[in-house]
Amino acid sequence: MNIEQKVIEIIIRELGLEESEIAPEKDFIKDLGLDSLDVMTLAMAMEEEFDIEIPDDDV
Amino acid sequence: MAGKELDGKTALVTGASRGIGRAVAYELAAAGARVYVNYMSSSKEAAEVVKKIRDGGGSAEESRFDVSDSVAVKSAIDAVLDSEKKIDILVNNAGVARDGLLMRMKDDDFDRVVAVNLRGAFLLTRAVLRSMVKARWGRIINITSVVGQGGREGQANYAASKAGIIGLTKSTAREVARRNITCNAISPGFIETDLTSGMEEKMRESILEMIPSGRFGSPEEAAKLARFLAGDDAAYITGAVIPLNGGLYM
Repeated sequence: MNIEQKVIEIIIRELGLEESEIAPEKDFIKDLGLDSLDVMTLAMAMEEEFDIEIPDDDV
Repeated sequence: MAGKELDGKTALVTGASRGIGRAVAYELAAAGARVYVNYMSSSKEAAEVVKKIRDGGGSAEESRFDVSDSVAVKSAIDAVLDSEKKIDILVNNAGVARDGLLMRMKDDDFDRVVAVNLRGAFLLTRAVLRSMVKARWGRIINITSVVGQGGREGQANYAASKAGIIGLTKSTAREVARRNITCNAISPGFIETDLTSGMEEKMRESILEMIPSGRFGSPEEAAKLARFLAGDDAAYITGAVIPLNGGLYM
């Protein structure tokens, strides 16, 4: 599974969105209607999945 | 038999081997929740709490860890989440006291009390918040103290830790209110527990004189309030510091 597919899988799993709603060009906040808690949850999931650290400012 | 209001919910109560924590554990179990009874060293007492809940038809498990230990907290919560998938209710009750006048208070007496009472609450809250945010439901109930609001001679460390709980409670409440997660504090006055029953008669008398209600409170009264805050009826109460002190401090 490539990175993009993994990211989509994380979004579906953590936020309960449908696969059809997600597309690379969509903005998390403006198009998908996520709030700051959603964005933080996603960032945390990605940190774990890819074993990286995302600085708070970048979140 | 009518369904109980916390059926299907999982609760974790820290310091639940005795006192207010124990009473809260009993009450939440009576309301239908599966209660994780946390303790650090009182294993016999904790086992008794679990047994009593189960004997009464309720659901409980022991959960031993030091709330001030970041690694232990994470691993304990992960273990609970593995079994339960979510933690719905957290009661930050674990607390210690190391009384003494400030001029002579040792570093460790201050640090340890703050580590257990305040840092512990932070560590637990952080550990459970993610599953609550995902579930879009949560109840965090922090036990502060009248001492945290008004101060007390000989308890600068305890008072500081309990006052800190108030700031923690309100900030947490603001951050997660959108997800139907409430965070409130119960502020007990003098509650009849092992601590107070050993008091000298003269001291008891002088304290009772300061309490408009003329009596100490009971752990059961604190537990009833916690039960209410844990339910759906209290969904619009958040960031509150609710006194339970018979009028001792207003």
